[in-house]
Amino acid sequence: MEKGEVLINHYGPLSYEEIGFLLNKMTSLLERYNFGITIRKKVYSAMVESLENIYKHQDIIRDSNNYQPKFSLTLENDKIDLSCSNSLLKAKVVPLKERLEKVNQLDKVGLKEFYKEVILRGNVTQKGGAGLGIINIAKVTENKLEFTFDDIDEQYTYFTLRIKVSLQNQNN
Amino acid sequence: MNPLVLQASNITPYIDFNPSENRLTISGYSRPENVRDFYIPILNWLEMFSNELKSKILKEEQIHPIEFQFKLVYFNSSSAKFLYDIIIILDQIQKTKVPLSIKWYYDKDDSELREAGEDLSELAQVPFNFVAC
Repeated sequence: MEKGEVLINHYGPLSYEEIGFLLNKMTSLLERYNFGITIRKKVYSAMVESLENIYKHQDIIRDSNNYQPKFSLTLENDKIDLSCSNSLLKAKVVPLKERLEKVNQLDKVGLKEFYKEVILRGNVTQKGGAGLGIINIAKVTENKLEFTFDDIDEQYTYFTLRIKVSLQNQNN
Repeated sequence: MNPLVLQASNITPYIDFNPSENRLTISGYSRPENVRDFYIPILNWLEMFSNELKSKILKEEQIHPIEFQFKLVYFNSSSAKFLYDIIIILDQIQKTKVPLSIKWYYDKDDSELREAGEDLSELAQVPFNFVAC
């Protein structure tokens, strides 16, 4: 297999069944290329949290088929890249950006403390969100998160989160 | 008290809470579509179990040692919140002088899973026995 290869590419509505399908596909692909449990679990965790974030928090634009959820998994020489995008109400940008910037400022110990703090706060929304997903992605991957918000219209933005799972210095 | 048994799916764990066997096990994958709907009945069952044990203690009935086994392969972050709630109930049971131990099983190569167990144990301030498989 050549490096820089897109292993999974999804564009379109994202159901819970589809998330399961994408996870199974990733697991069998990474097993086929002999990645060990550490890498597979890191990618699995990052995929679950990012896809569930889309499923729970996306704001679907009515009467439009554009700006659907997007997910890709790409194998590079030294890392596995995950990229996920979804439409979002602009009103949600500020708190989300603050959360992302905060996790990017924290080291491993800081992320662990932040994770504990959020669990102890104890709120799980009706949608099942505990506010832990982004913290967990940063904690598990041990890399900074990259993100962009691209304007769609006055009301909506297209949010993209890029996650990196390093392959070096791992027992993969 | 009736046992609580829930069969596993690819998104929900197997729950095998059988008081007559003195062993309660939660195993497999946990990323339920609706995490509250899945875990709240489990927490309610454990609260009832805790109350039953408390009344046995008050009546000075003999209680055999109980083992709670976490045999999870993966759990998402919203499940972690509910696993923490389970551990808090187990801690309350231990504090009523019921002999209860908590075992956290993990694949010997899966350091993430062991670390996740250590985080929960530390957070709840409840010691676990870690078992590598």
